[in-house]
Amino acid sequence: MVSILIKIKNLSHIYHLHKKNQITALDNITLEIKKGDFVSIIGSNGSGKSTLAKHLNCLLLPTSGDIWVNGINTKDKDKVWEIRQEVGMVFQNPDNQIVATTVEDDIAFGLENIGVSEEVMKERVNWALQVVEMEEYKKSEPHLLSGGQKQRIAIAGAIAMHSSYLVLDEPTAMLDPHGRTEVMDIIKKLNQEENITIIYITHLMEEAAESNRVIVLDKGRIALMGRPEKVFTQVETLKKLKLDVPQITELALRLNDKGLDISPYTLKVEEMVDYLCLYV
Amino acid sequence: MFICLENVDFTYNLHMPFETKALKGINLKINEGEFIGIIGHTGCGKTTLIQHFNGLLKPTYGKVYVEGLDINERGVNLRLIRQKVGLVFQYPENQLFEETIFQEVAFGPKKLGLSDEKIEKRVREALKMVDLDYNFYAERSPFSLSGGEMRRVALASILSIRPKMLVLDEPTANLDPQGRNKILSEIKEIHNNFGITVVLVSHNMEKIAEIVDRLLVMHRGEIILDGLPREIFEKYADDLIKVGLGLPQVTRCMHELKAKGKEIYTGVLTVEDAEKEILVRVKRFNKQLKI
Repeated sequence: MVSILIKIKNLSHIYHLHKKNQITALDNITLEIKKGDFVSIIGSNGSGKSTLAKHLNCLLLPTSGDIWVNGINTKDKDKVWEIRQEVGMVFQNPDNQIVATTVEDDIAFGLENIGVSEEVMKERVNWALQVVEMEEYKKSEPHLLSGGQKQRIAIAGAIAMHSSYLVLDEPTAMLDPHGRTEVMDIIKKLNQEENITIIYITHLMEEAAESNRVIVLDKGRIALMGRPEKVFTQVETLKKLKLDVPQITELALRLNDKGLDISPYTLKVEEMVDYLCLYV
Repeated sequence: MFICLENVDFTYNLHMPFETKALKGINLKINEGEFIGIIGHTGCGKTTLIQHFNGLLKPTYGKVYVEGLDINERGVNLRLIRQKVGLVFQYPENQLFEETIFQEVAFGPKKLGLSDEKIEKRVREALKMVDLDYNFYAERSPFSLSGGEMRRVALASILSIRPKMLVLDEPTANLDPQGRNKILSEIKEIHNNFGITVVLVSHNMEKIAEIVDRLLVMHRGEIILDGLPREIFEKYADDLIKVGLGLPQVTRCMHELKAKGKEIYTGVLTVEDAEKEILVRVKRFNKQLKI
């Protein structure tokens, strides 16, 4: 039986191997990402987040170790396209990944490349547009959209391929708060309603708190891993790793320390409000 | 007064099919020594506005004065204006081009025609301001640095011109939390120690609101709010949400408590503020609690 998951075993990646400026970006990573999961990856600049992401759809190959996507090794040259269809990718800058002159053409681009019939193509484009809630912009020109809308188009282009995994590398870094919420809402919906596995790289702790599992990378290794409420309560370790704690969690920890009966595992404003209502 | 904008309008592609009004009737006064933050939705005109401060853009209508001088009048020495108002663009690390960090930071002073001795002094001074050790960094290539360090080198290369005013467009975009905090605390120190007027543009409002003395909120080409960060967060939370800005988590928490009829001060910006405010209230309502 083919196992439906991404399996990473002893993955190391070294840039400029055997040269003077050799850098170990990933150092012996072992990890499994099950279908339907929502995993976020955090870590300081240069911790290996993007390098790891690029291994998931063969943009980079391991220097040593292996990755299997649904049982297919990414080193298998004949299966590269199969893997890339399975693992969609969305990058930071929406302007760099939009290729066509209308929204629907842009979403259809990947489908055209794999030779899908026109009928199926229309169906999938419409479905993807509906999922990202952009139907009314079908005929619009992408460059006239806002940043958040452009990112949603990029996401639609990836899911139109019927990928089971979606890797997003800081998709909200260039967006304003409104655009961020827009994109985050769509991602949660993809995960919960369409059962698409999400691998989400971010610098924003509030966003990572939305996932099921947080992986903290440091110098190419996994420093912490677990449910967000477990990871974010390790304030000292996170600060040492140059990371932050969501404001609400920090507040919960401080108030808990002062003797208030507030769970230190508080991640959401709503939970905090409920606790505080008992006191003030 | 250092900078004064009077009824400034700016339109991109004027009289063309894609004409877009980016600024509408802006009136703004910036005094020497102020520390100002500008926040707003993408496309609200923040970047267009700051490009008026040193004459990179000329208003379609209205006037811009720097130290009382109308900078768009014929014959004004714009070079001099740009020495006074140093602009650090978005992703300034993309503008690095020299072989060593020394050369990079020395570029501005060299163009000012200073002697080698003075140039070195300025480079040392500027690197110190951004907390980069001269001996360790001067001869290294700027391209061997981390993103945060590159950004600080870019900042140093503006500081070496000794501007009276520093304008930074999204200085924290794409940095990890530590890099973000470091560059902001350096900017704050530069402001405190050297009295340089600072304008920070960002949509990461949590950190910005914490360090600036005055906050401007822009929406669709207009300045809709102008005041103390605390006051804006306390009284205009709804307006901020309406223009797509949202609130920091702790501020939102206080507003939601207030909406539930709790008596609480909502002008909090930091976790420390929130903690203090909550403890005061808790003590008042639960006298038996020992905290």
